[in-house]
Amino acid sequence: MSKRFDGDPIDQLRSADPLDRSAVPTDTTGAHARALFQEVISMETMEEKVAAKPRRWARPAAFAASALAVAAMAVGAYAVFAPEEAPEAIVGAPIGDAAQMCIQYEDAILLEQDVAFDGTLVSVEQIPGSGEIDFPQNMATFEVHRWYQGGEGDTVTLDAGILYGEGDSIALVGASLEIGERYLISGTDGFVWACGYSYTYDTEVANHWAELFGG
Amino acid sequence: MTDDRVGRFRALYDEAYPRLMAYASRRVRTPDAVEDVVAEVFTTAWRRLDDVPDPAMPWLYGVARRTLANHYRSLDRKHRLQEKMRAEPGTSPGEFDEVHHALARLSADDRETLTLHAWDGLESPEIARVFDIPASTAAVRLHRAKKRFARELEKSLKSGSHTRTPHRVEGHHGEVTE
Repeated sequence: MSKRFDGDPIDQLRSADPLDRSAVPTDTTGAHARALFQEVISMETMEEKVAAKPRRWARPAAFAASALAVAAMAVGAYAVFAPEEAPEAIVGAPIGDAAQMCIQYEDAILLEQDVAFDGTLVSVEQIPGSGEIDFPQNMATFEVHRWYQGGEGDTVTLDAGILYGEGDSIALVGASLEIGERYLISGTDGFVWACGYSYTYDTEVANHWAELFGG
Repeated sequence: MTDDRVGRFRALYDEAYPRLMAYASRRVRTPDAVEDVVAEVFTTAWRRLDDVPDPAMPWLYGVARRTLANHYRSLDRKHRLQEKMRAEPGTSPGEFDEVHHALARLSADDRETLTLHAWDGLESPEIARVFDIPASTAAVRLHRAKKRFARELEKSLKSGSHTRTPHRVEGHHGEVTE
């Protein structure tokens, strides 16, 4: 079957809008809208949270400097841009492709992660899919050098999902985890978070995390 | 909680609720997930109300975009399973298969840029605020995305042999878009 579309492609895209408008509310008079409004305004506000953690917005500039260093490394120009006063600094890279902005980095979001730590990936257990879940999980165990948030003990295991191993999806998310490498990892709901929320070990980012989490 | 704060949030909520419900409905599969995403966006807006710019919608779309990325990430397996279940043979081509197929072949950023423009009604200055990029960059990105989409649409028209329609805009973590 072949069809002919004429005119502006954007018009064609508008015509192909998948939204079922009859199923989406047009105002806030419905039960869900009213219930959600009440639920939300009964919640704790950010001002109250900031008062409890006064350092949560610390050092955005440090993160920006680190991001610049990472970008420089990506084009092979790190030797030119690296700060001379800190030759021992380790420069890392985001796990996942932050350049694609799969999720925009914010300190506030990092602070809400269940766990954040400095650790070395020591093993990955691939759990084969079975039954309804017919794709594997990649359970990554890290030896923890330092906890920034949550967790306890010397090791922690999180699902690295598509961030470990090779497959079609790796091309979509960028760098993957490797056993033996040291990382700054954050995670929630048992998953490693990518998109700027986890790094190969980076001195500047580690310092930033330490300040951010009040360590 | 002050009346002024609630009043400001009320105004924002009345404007944004229908638009965010539409945005999320295009991008996730179940009503429960749509409601979860929208609730998360408004929770963020409420907690950071003093940071919400005027106009608020681009900022809210940006929060929604990040919330969706988290949603895709955490539900990766379930989502893939749903995709697999949807890929049953014998599905008839939809009316807009070529359009959706062309859209699915674009990068995630191109898809989001185009659909924010075409479906959610945002112009490039607003898209810039969603992505937190300069307005000039957004304008160039939109222009290039249109050209790439036009090329892909032409390819789809020539091949004219698609079997499935992805009915929603998929996310940023390798979701199957077919």
